[in-house]
Amino acid sequence: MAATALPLARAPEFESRICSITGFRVHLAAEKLILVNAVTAVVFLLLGGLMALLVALTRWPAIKLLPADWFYYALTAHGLDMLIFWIIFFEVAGLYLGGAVVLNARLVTPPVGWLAYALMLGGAVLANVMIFVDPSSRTMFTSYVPLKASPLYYLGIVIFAVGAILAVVAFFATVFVAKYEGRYSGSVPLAVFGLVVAGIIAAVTLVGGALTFIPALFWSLDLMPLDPEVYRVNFWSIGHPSQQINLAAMVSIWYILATLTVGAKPLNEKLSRFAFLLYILFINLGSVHHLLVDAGVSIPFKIFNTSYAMYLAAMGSMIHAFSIPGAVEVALRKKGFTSGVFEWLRRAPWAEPGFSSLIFSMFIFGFVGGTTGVLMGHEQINIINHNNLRIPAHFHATVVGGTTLAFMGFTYYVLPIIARREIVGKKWASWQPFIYAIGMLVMIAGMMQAGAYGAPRRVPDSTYAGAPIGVEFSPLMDPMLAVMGVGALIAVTGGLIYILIAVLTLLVGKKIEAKA
Amino acid sequence: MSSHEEHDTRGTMVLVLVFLAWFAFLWLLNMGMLLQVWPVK
Repeated sequence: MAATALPLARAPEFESRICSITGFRVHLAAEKLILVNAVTAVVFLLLGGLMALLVALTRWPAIKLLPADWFYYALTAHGLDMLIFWIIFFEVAGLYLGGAVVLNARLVTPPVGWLAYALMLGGAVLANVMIFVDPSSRTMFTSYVPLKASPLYYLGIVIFAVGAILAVVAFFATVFVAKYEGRYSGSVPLAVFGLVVAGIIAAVTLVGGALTFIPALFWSLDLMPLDPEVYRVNFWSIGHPSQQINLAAMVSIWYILATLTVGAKPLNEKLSRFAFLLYILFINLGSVHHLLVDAGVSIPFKIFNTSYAMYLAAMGSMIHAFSIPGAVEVALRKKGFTSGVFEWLRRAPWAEPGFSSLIFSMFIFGFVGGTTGVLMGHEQINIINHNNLRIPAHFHATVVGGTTLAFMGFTYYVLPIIARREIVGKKWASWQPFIYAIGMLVMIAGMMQAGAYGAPRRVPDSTYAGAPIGVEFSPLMDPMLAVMGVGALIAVTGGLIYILIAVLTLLVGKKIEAKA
Repeated sequence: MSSHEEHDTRGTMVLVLVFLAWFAFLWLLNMGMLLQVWPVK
């Protein structure tokens, strides 16, 4: 059913300002919510980053920093704070930015936005506190049954998810009302379309979250039994799909960064929109690759989801990953960099942190994360990789080298537009994506190779020292774990520079005057 | 921008070929790893 657009003159007024950089009309209530969600995201990034350092220094055989119980504290907090809290708080900021600011519209029902924020923050803090005070809650990101955490831990996750659902509802209401009030005509811009796709995937994912964590909460209260296989199947309807929300949001940000940094326009917008639709239809099904070694899941179910569905989703990513560089190339050639095949790339604005973040994010996501993901989704290869360090190597390339780096680059634009502050330390900002990307690539290479030598994941001691049955590993595994540790140190340095720039910009950055 | 417009995207085409070659290399590498453990003796 098509919405009837009101003439703009009759649409309700809202308290706003005109952005002096983009010309967007910024709803002041939306501005506050974007800022508070983005700042909270960065706080969780800091916490998760410190945990990453502790995990890496424990896995580095020459250091072995933490004893087992504190290793599992650091690993659980690292997984939750990075994979869920940092990314989803930042995505909510992105949804409000795309739904309200980019469409020159008002954020519908800001109180719902604040309620969503309060629930998300309350849930995230509760889960973090429980991991810290209760050793039984250090069940890692997956919290596989029969590992039983405190009921308050599951409650924290459920409260966070309810808040996230409310934020997604507020976003969809904003886009719908913007259309009704005639704030835009035709379809939404491509980047907002990508965010709508992220919102749809989020809605499906959050249903999966309810199916997973509400029974787990009741099970932890001894109110019902819970079959480990059923839990695993349900968990992977949120565990991987939650990362597909990131994927759609990240690709939207790629399009925005390409436009903001070099003025690129999509080469074929219909094709890009089609690629986003492939995500909605197929990408969550591809999550079944997590269940490839599970005996309780049928072979046809595994084959359909991890072959046909996953390849169609990967095709969506391939379309984006080559249409965006193509658009960047066309834009830079128009600026006069036409000599040879690669002058446009050599003379691109590499000192612009948004541009370098975009290129590194696409490179690490596609060349490292995407290729290894498709390979590890082969049933036969999955069996030899299962539970070794190659798996986290893969998803650090997608979620960290890809998503986090894109979000970092986007921050350098969000801060001037939303916080109205000039970036502090622009020179440092220029170097930051290089340091972070190099650190991640070194870390991922070390992890990948250590995994190929059999290094297990999720254990503080890779050699299983003291186990009743000894396990022999290649002597090359330890040097590779050291490479991983060195890479982590470089990446954490890059992450800290990003956080320092963001905090200093908010606190002491020069004010950008708003237009009346 | 219309999809029928002619664009010079030779650089991107080279990147596509590099990507495909890289993927083929990784695929062969993984198959090699697989052959080391298969068939199970």
